Amino acid sequence: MKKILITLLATAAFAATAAAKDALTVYTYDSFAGDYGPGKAVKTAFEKTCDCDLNFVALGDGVAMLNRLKLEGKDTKADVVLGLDTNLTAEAKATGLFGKHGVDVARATVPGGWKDDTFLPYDYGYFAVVYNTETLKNPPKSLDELVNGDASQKIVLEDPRASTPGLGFMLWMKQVYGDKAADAWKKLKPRILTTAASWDDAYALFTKGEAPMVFSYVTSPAYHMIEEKTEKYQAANFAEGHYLQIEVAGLIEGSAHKALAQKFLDFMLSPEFQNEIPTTNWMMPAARTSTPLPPEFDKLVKPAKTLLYSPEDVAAHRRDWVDEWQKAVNG
Amino acid sequence: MGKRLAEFAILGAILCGVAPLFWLLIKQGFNTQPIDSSVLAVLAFTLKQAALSTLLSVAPGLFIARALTRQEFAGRKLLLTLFALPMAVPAIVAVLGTTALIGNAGLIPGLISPYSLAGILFVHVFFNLPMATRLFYQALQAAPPEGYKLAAQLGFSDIATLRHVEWPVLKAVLPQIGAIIFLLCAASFVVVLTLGGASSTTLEVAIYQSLRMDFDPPRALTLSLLQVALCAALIGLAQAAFKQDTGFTSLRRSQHRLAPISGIARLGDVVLIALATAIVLPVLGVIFWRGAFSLHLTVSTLQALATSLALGFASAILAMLLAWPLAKARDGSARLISLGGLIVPPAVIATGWFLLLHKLGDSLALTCAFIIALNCLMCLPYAVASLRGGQAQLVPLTRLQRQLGLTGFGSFHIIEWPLMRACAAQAFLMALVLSLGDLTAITLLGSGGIVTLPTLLHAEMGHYRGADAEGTALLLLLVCGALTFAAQKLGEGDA
Repeated sequence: MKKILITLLATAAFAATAAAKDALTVYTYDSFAGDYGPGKAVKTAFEKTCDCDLNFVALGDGVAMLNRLKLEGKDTKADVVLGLDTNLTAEAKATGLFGKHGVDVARATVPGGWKDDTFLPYDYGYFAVVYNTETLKNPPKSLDELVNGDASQKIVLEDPRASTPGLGFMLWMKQVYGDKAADAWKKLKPRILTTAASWDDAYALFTKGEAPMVFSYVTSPAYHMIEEKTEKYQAANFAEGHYLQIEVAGLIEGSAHKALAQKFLDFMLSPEFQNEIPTTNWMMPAARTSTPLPPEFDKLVKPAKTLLYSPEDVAAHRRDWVDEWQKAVNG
Repeated sequence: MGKRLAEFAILGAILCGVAPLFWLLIKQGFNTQPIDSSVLAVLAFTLKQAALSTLLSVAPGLFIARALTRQEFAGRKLLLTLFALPMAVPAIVAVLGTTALIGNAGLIPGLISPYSLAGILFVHVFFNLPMATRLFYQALQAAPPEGYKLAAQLGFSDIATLRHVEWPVLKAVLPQIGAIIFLLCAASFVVVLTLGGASSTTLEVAIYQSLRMDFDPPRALTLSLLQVALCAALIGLAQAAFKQDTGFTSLRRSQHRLAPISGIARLGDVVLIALATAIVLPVLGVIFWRGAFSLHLTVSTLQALATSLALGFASAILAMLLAWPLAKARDGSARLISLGGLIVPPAVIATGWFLLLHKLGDSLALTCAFIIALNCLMCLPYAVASLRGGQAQLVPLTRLQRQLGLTGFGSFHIIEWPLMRACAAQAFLMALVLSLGDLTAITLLGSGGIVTLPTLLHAEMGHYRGADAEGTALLLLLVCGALTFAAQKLGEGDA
């Protein structure tokens, strides 16, 4: 009788633990988790491998995520944070919340290679000036041509204080012009139609025909070619090279599900995850895919040179550089 | 009693937002970036554009409301319904509507450049002129018919009628309406950045920057306190300038105007109404036209619609409960407190709430409660302004109420409700429409699980699906139009 009771209790206890599956909480940005992003497919694919629940908490963008982490500190509910970029990783490391990912970084195929043992890339994209081939016949062939070109041909930019591409463009200017960046901004100013608060707003103004150029990604034309079957919008190939954005994920050291978090980061570099990236996140995969990229991706601009500041440089100088930009465009 | 409770609830909610940041400020030892001359430039621009936007919305709005009150014409009701819609339009949709009209690729390019202060003012007027008009219109409904009768008998001129009959009721709502519009425009973000570009920085942009990019909550708090002090001073001045008096009142509601209107006055009315129509309708027209081609009802749009309605109704009901006693109160504190959700930047309140309460967990119910609370704070000023229009005529009735010994529900049922019915319907509608178009509370507090029509719209825009976003914007407007129509019917019903 006693034995039966123990067996019953043990079974009940087992059933209880089985019912409460491990749940992995991933902080990410809205457009990753949302209807059009890769989130749903990633969730389904990962849950097949782990007998667990994968829950996304969607927070605006990378900056919003990092701020949420700073507010929550050690109490954070996140196990994994997915969607920071290399402009934010130094600051993210400084919170002391992130642990080592423990994944073989050799699998990551981003330009310039990958060495970071805290953050792991999941996609990347080069920024680019995207133009309307119908209204702009002579697109600039370099950043310098953009800066010094015809002021009647306008560009829509994003605000570096509010938008990731906006920050990307500011860093691009800084990398090319260095100490003379403020002068270059002053020269560029007459060409700027406006500086929108977000990429969404800027791109909407561009596609409505308000300006022939917008600051976006090298991959933007792929969307128009694949989804809209048009080659109307193209990215300009700049001689100085293109600024790079690498999107990364990391795990929270104090997480109760650290092993599962590690498993997720490992999964992130698998073809099941990477296959989703090109046509849902419209970025380049950061590791091998099992299916070839759509042929339209072959037509995209291949930057001759990669421009990128180290995360530490960005963290140390961002505020000064933003001040410099602000003074230059206000003057 | 109710008033105290409402005031405590609002102040408590705001304090819960500000206090944790204060604590951080003390803990970090005021070690934030100094407030320097660049802040002064920001402040100057903020005040300039907000003051101009307010002036351009309030002054014409007052006279347009008067014109709409005394001119009977086919389509007047429809026009008033359409005037309720801009409130629900997400800022970027209004900006794109404006550029479609007067932008480089617009219907009338080169009229005025939208990428300028003029463009910012145009969009701000598009949002606020119709709102001001509706609120003034509603206040004028409370002007006593006896007043007009007397004015007609005495042969008052147009100006004398305005001065003696209409001004007392308009004055009851003017400071509140002016304050709302001023605060809204001072806090304008997307419109100012998109059309003004990087050189137009408002205080709100600076606060956003300090919260977002620099992650410096103490600095955000310092800037917010600057904004609070400034706004409180301006609102105090406005209130002092428009001392309220108690006019005579009537329980009868009649909209017949007895005094004949001169030809010149009539012409003026026509011009004013045409002007308002010319500012509001083309932008709405563009949104309707563009949306018509991409209106789509998928499972996700319907879910987003249901979520929007649920959050909107909850926020509007809560706002009404708080607004009712505040609108009745005659003192300045109630006015100022009701504006709290506009004076203290929502981003600051949301950050404070988060710091204080994130340890309670992050269940869906709790997140929804926060969104509803913040939405409620933000739509409260409108509900109060809207109710105050009707309350103006209740004041003299309090004596009657006392003489009859009516209290509690009896007094509410017999005296307040019949007079307040139309106002209440409008106040509720305003709060609801505003919440339906909300993007602030949901962005600050939501975590992706909650998708409303405005967040869906932005998700579509963020994925190159601009056309879908136009359809979603239209759906939002259609729903708000239907609700406005329903509120009008409800308000007109026999009491």
